[in-house]
Amino acid sequence: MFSSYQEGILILLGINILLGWSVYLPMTTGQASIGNAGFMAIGAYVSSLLTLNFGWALLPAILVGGIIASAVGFLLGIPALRLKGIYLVMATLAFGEMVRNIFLNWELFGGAYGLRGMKGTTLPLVYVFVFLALIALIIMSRSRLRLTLDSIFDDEMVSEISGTDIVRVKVGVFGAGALLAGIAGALFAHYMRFIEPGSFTPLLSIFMLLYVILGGMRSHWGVILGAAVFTLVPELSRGLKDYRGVFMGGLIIALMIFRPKGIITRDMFRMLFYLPGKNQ
Amino acid sequence: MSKEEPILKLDRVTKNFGGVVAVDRLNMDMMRSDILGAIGPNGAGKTTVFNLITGVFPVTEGTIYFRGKPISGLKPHRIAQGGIARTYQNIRLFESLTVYEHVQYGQFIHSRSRKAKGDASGTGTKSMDDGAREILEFLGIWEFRKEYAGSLAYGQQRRVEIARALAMKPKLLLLDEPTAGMNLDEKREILQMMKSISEKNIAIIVIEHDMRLVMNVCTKIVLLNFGEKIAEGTPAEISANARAKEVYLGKE
Repeated sequence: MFSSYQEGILILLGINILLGWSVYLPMTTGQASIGNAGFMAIGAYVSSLLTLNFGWALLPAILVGGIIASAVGFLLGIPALRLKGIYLVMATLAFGEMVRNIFLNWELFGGAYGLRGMKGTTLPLVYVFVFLALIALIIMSRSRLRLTLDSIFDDEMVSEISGTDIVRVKVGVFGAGALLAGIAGALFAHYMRFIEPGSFTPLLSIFMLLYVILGGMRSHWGVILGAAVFTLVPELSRGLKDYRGVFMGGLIIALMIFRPKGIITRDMFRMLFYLPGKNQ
Repeated sequence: MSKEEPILKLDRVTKNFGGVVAVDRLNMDMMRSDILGAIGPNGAGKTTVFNLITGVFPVTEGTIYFRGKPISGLKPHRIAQGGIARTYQNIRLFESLTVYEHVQYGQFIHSRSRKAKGDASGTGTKSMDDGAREILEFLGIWEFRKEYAGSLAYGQQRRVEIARALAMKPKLLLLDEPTAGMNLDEKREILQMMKSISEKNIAIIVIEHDMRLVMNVCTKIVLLNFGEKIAEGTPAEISANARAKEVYLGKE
């Protein structure tokens, strides 16, 4: 149906959507993370070790990779989420670099050479995970949890005084984000067939955050669009050759000027689905 | 029934902000039937007392008892779950939530159900929807239920804050200048509303600058100045108190 080039781009798109959601989840409570490449690396390395050295099937290896990344996310979240704003950003950045350097020095995981020979990620497999994550996000956006998350996003002090255990909620969404990043990392490793510590740089984490901010941080649909723009535009603009990066940078700045709250906002949904006379 | 114990008791409560004494050895207690007015000049420590009761920051010394149990040192959400709700001097609403959702959000504190919830058309549990409607109608903002709280007029935003607090089914309600910026008619309505809330067996502490309102509605008044309690008593006692007059009511 697709050429292998097209299939490759769609696989990366699916992985990027998962990565975008991994940042979107903590963002629902106002927490910006630029360390999610760290969770991605944990999922990638753990699953690769399981399939390469222990002969595990791919699916359980992906799930275990995700769960371990998530466990680390919870552990990190408990102390780190006491920090706010730019301080949390710095802490997550440091965490991502810490993880990368641990893998760089740990011979079991191949050190600087990384791991190679993983395989098995297919287009349907990636989109099964994207679909499951989307279902979970839709359920979340229609449950009472949405009100709790919004209340923390808007004013966490008032949310707490109104009876919400905000630490629990914030650590929860942070850990859930780490789960998605870990799964995405495992899928990535078994698609690329080769990973090294240099695959998980802070730049990758920054891109994840950009999917969320440019797509629209108040809706899980925005993240899909943000990931799509960042995955597809570089491919579609190959004709610009060396100026591709310039074009991409200009596009980011233009989006921030014209859609500062992201491409997809809740107001937009309201406008699209507003039906006059349906108020009673 | 034996002698009623105070719903709230402050025992030598002190709050120190790095050398500045915001609240100084404050003793205070109130019954469930009380509407207690906290008055005093700006900076007297009134809002700080609210912040100490709700656990926003810890007390430096002393103990706060709520329904006989010490609550100072508990996390704010635990104190809220115990039955204390409040409003804020500067209105603090959630801009992403509609009026109706504010009430739903307040109600969550008492429901463990994680069931998906729709909008004001009413897909939640029947009793919760009825409760939300009752609160919104009581405050006269039912017609705005689908509006985003931030888009309402000032006076209505204050009512949404009270609605959110009442949805928590509190036993003690703290109102921080509920009539600030309101005209006389609106003030009268708030006053009437406070009396009705009190009749529902909810204790109220109100911070208020409008002395006529305080004298009219409160059963008990505490006058603070520089974090200290200057005077305490019924409205009649306060208006007769010479020091109270001097500090706050002005010499006539």
